[in-house]
Amino acid sequence: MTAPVHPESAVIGGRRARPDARERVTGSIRYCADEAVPGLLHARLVLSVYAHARIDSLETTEALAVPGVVAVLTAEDLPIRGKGDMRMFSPLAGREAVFAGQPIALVVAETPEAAADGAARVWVNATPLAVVLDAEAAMDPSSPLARERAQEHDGEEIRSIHAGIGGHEEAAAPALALSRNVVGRHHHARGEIDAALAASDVVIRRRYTTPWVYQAYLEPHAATAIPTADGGVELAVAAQGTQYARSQLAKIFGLPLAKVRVRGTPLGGAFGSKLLVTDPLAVGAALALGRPVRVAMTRREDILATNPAPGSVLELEVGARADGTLTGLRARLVFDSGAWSEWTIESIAAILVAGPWRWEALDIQAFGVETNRVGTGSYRGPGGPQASFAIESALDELAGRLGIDPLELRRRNLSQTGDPMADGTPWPVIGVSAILDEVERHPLWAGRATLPAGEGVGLGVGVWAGACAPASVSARLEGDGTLTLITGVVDMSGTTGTFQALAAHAFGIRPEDVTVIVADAHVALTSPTSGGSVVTYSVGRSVVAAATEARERLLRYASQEMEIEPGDLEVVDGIVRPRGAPERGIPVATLAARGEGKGVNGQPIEGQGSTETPALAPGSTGHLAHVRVDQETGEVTVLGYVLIQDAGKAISPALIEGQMRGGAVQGLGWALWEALRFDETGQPITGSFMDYAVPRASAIPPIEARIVEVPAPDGPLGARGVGEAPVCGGAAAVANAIAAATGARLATLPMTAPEVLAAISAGDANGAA
Amino acid sequence: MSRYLAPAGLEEALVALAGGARPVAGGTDLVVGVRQGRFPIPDDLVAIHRLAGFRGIAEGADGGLVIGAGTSHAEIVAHPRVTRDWTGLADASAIVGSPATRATGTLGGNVANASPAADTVAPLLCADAVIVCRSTAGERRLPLDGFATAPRRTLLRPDELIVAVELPAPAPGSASCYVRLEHRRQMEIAIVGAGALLRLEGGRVTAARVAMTALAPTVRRVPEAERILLGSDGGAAAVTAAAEAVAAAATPIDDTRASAAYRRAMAAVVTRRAIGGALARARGETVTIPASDTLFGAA
Repeated sequence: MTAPVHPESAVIGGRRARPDARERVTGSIRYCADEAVPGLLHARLVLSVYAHARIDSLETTEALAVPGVVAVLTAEDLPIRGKGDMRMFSPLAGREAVFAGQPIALVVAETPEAAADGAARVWVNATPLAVVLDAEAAMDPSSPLARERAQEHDGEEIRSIHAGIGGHEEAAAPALALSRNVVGRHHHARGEIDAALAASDVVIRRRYTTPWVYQAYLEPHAATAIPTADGGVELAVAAQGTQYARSQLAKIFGLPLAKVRVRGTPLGGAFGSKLLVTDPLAVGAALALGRPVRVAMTRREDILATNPAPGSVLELEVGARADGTLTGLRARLVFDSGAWSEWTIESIAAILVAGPWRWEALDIQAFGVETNRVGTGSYRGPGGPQASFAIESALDELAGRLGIDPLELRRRNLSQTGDPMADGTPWPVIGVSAILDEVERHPLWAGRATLPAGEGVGLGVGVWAGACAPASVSARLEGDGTLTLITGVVDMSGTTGTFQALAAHAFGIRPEDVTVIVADAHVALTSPTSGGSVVTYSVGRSVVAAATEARERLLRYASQEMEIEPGDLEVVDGIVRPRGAPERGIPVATLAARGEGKGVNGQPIEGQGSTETPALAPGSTGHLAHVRVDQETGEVTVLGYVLIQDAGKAISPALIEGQMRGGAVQGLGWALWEALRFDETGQPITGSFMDYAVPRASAIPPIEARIVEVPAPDGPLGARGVGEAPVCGGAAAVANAIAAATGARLATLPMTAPEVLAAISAGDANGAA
Repeated sequence: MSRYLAPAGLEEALVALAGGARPVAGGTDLVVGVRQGRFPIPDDLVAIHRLAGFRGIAEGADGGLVIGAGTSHAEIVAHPRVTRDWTGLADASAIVGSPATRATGTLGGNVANASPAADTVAPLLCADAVIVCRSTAGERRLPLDGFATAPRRTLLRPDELIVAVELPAPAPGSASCYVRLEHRRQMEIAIVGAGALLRLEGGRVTAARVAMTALAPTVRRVPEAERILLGSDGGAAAVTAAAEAVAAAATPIDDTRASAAYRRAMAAVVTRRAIGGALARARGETVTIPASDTLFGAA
């Protein structure tokens, strides 16, 4: 199999920039916080300085005296009617602050400056409580609780999202005495793990740790809420899912859905974070004050108070026989869910940690544990970067101990379609085999034995199980022959371009003649939240269905006009023509103008594509990192990077490659630099981009993006979602490259120069059992 | 509310300073500091970046250089005399902050800010720089060595303005180098850095300057290291011993960027590389500016 060729002009597979590329690159795009709103009030957050404290009282007199300050709102002032154990129901801390950085009050003023001055003059009287920071220690029944509220929990309450995977029966969890800080618990078991490991010729035991990581999008969270005359609210928000926001806001504020209108503003990046963070604050303040209120976070607020990826510990025991057959995987995963556990992701990691590999036996236990850190959220492929770092590092080490080529080891143990995932779900068709073929052929991999001393190449495989959702899209032929698509799906990553191509292909016109309207939540048909690599895969099907229905109506009309059976007509390059007689064709634009977009008997030439939930279509990637390690300083320089991804079918290769490169860079951030750090009292000490180190362009080599196509049976034209998989597997590739270069095995992210130097100095003693 | 004065001439600016105003040129430290809440915006600001004679590089009568305090890092690294004769300064100016910082930030500001991690100070110390200060009371010329007294503290009086940095002519056969270790490439604060200047005559080191960055409360010279090098052959033993002397003299801090132990270990590495770079240049070999990229393995 060879990589597909993508001619520039092709509708499917043509190289086109995303439609809003110019606006984004030139900075002319208007984000939520840029919009002018008459009578707008600006809010600034008062953040808790304590990681855990009882809030005794707030002194607001000084703040209210600042000219321009309109109000200081506390939890009691927000008209919240709904109840739930999620941050959206408690956007301001009430009696208890559970992390340093938690919003306690909202200072609302006529100007952002006055709001900031006011926020600096709110005094919080609080009584410090015991701070829980070590997630593993917090599991012990004798541990203090991260939140007093936890005592109200009724036994083991497990909340999690599965992002489309899971749902199969979990194994019975072994009886363990656990504290109420443990809010998530998952167990997958198959076969006789003890026997499988005992019968192994080589067993690797290692403890991998990953830090809290911030999504670091360009645009901080922002929302603008405007009260309406009917007692409802209009919200403009940088959100990944406007219909999700609308339904949740109606519950939070006890409003009928008809009174909640939500409009998505152009996203300046989100990566999983932009879900109901600023929305309840803005809506609550607007309803309380009866005036438009904007909550636009500063970078500091965004880093301290939103929903980064959680820190994790992954203890793995993996075995293999001398011939390279994997035997058993025993894993114990502890994910720190911080102060809010609604997006706890250990359930996803518990499945992904087995990788796409075949195990004779496995036993995976995963725990989500509340601590006094910022509440966790989703970050691109949640659980995937952590799980793949651990398992792909372990496989590489296993290969080294067995004396088997790491790629060959993976080939021998690759799951086939129908083999069980960790939770028993049968693996759908996945593209890992095709990716490994590409890796094997790549000169960087083939030539890795001839590198100079201090350099190495590492391989990491990433898998994202995928997500799927029902969705509806409508399509309408305009009087000028263009097609208008209406969806409520927020364009987070350039999916508008993909929708244009899919609709153009289905209808028979050029992509630039398709207009995609992202409608407000209350207007659009059923539209899932953008996330989990759901949009191209699930909504793309609806786009094709809608355009296909509209095309059928067009052909019926053309049939009547041309007196030819619809079945004998085709639409090619915007011209409806009889098969075999292209010279008799009539342009779509002509037909559209003739009927003003109407067809037979005035029937509108429209279509509605409503599709059910498709089957899972996992995405997969192969990463090759080429590094040089400075043996004296531990500095790692990434000299080259190759990312190979199965896109199923590349509808918009330029957009896919953009996703791949972005994911690879974020993966390098996980690998080498990024970490939210906290001191021993729970104070965040990386509250700005001075201290929180995102990758700089100068540290990133050219990234070679190669697409392979292993069609997804249910995907539009075979396409798969591509958003998450590029960030899964990258950190392992770098760790494996460092090991190849130095012999030192890093098991802690990020692999900063001091860590690398320490590992080199410690030799193989570092953590290996 | 702050007041902002943009005077036409130096005298007017000095009068403003005498009245309590604070100077601003590139603003790369002032703006960041205010944003981080390290200090409030001064009530009165006097803009000095357009003062006549404040910006630019002039050749001194003795073959030295007079760099206007308002000269940007980008201008310094683009100057042929700097890249030829004060290569260590060029190494440093080339890696201060980002391209935008280098276009806006000034040499005078970098010296006055007195950060323990200021990149240009180590090579200026190696070059025996003299700081020219002016006030309404007149001019003072202070050696840079000793000018910074503590983090963010210098001998500069509140009513004084740094107007120029004087560099005496370099001795024949001498060359300099500055390198730093950083957490990422570019736009980074030095984890540790070192500057070195060596003069080679007949295979012997006849002059030596070694200064360390981000390893003490102020960027400072390390006389112990200089003594080891002086009179030596500049061979590996002397260079290693000098580097170890820097590590021994270092009093590094622990922070989120690196631990004190790592900084101390790296003090020897960066010093060895800085001395090596200076020696190579003194022997006529090419070490590309900025030396950090070459000596620390950036692609």
